[in-house]
Amino acid sequence: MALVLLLSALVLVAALVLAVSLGSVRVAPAEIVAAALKGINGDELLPLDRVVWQLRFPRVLLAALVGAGLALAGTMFQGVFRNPLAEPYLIGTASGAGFGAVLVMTLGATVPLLARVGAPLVAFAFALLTVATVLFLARSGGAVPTVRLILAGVVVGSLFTAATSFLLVAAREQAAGMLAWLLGGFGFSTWSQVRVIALFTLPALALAGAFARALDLLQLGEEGAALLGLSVERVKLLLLGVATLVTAAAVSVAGIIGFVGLIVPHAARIALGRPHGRLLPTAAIWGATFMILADLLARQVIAPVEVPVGIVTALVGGPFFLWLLKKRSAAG
Amino acid sequence: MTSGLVISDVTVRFGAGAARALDGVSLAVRPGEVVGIVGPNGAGKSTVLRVLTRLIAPSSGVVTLAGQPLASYSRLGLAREVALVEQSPEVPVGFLAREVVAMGRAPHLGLFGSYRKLDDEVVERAMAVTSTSEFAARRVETLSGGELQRVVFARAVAQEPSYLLLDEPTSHLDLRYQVEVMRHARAQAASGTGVLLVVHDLNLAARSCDRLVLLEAGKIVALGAPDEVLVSSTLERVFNTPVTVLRDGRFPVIVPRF
Repeated sequence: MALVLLLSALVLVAALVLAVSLGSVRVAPAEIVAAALKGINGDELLPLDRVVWQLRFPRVLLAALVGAGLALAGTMFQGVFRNPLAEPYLIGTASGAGFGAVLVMTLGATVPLLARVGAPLVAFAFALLTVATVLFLARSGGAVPTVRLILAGVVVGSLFTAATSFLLVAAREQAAGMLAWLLGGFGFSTWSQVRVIALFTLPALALAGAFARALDLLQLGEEGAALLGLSVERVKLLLLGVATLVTAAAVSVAGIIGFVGLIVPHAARIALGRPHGRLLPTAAIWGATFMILADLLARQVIAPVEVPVGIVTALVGGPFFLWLLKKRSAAG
Repeated sequence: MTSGLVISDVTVRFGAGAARALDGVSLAVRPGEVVGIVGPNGAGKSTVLRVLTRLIAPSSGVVTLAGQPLASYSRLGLAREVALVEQSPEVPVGFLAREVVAMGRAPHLGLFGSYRKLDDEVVERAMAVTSTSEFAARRVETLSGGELQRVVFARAVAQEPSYLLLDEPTSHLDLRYQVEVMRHARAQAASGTGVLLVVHDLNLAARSCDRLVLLEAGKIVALGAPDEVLVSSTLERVFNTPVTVLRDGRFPVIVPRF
């Protein structure tokens, strides 16, 4: 277990260095370290340093945080719903958050209140609304059956997607930029975004870790968990709230990026089993690594044109997920 | 009436106007005794256990634990005192058998406490006495129904409750493990735990319980030593089946006739 975490962390660092070094200009690892030191110390930056410190570092770190956040949220949703298909994208949370973020972008100028609250929190409000609606629709006799959860998620998600499209069409000249954002990407990453997302994601990771045993107990069903002393409703609400917040924060900076919250926890579960004490940190690290590499691919594959990273995660993640599914059913 | 797990005049209705699942039931389990609940399907046997673990709130009547109303306990506090092995517990896919048994320590650790050496020892002992150590490192979804039932039993043992409630703990077990579970229930009682179990096998009940409760349609129709409860006239009426009651030393042996 400790070995898996250590190896995963090493791979993450390697991916980080690789992603910072590759691009229109190649940067050697030594130059990366030099630029980072200058950036941290606030020394004067040369043009190459600026590429590394002001463009690539925020971009790569943001990808890492968003990937970790989405994988974490996916693990938590799956744990709380006891449903391997629960994922920020599939259950509509991401669409709700996307609507909230687009609302701020289109109406922020005319409704100052929206801009003041900020995209992450407005996205959070709509993501919460989505989760509450989906839960309300999908719940049947205390349980949340898969089919109902996905159906309700898809329908509520479609509603918000339609509403988002309407806002985009109405926004006219801004529409192209927003659409590119909505498809998911890290093209406009800044250090201030990194700080905001870190502020949401890192405490959520710590909190989720603290509730690892509670998530384990929830796998016994609501009654089984209650019989072992868990205040089920309170814990579920808290965990859903945290997962939703992380999703909303991720969506508000990077648009809607599907599949990460589905395949990363799934792969981690196949490799490590269910106990959340090891599942949560592993999924977060793998999610960060996956997103860094997906973003690298997105900006390299037909450079200088950038592919929205959501397309990459779907194109890579979809077949990978199908392969996992097939392999698992073959293994019985 | 301060010691024990006690229900007094409890009635349970599932929804207004619905039939009574329990109807004025009074029953006490004392530390150190094994009490068996027997009766036909749908008599309300499991409902008694669910009331005693607060999974169901009674429509009327009072439930107390060590003299305090059950409702005054926190979920955590209750879980430290009372363990229930459900009839068909959920299988937590992806966990090792040992990890499932270790969940029994959760009430003692609280949400954020970490496992200590003592907890490890308790888990190991619970698995040893339930003969589950051999598959400690197997994933629970690969276990047979009987093996799983023993793992869940081991978890309840690891919970170290003052009262151990078992809902048909032997339903998936072969003869050897039926006897073993019952022997273990007796051993728990000998060390001061109060044991209440729902059991269909009347002969197993006769041999392992100090007292039996016979339920029919939510009401107690007989309560007392196995000899007093397992009487052919009563059994024939309640189960609507002709039976012969034989004897094997101290124990009644019930044989259905057909």
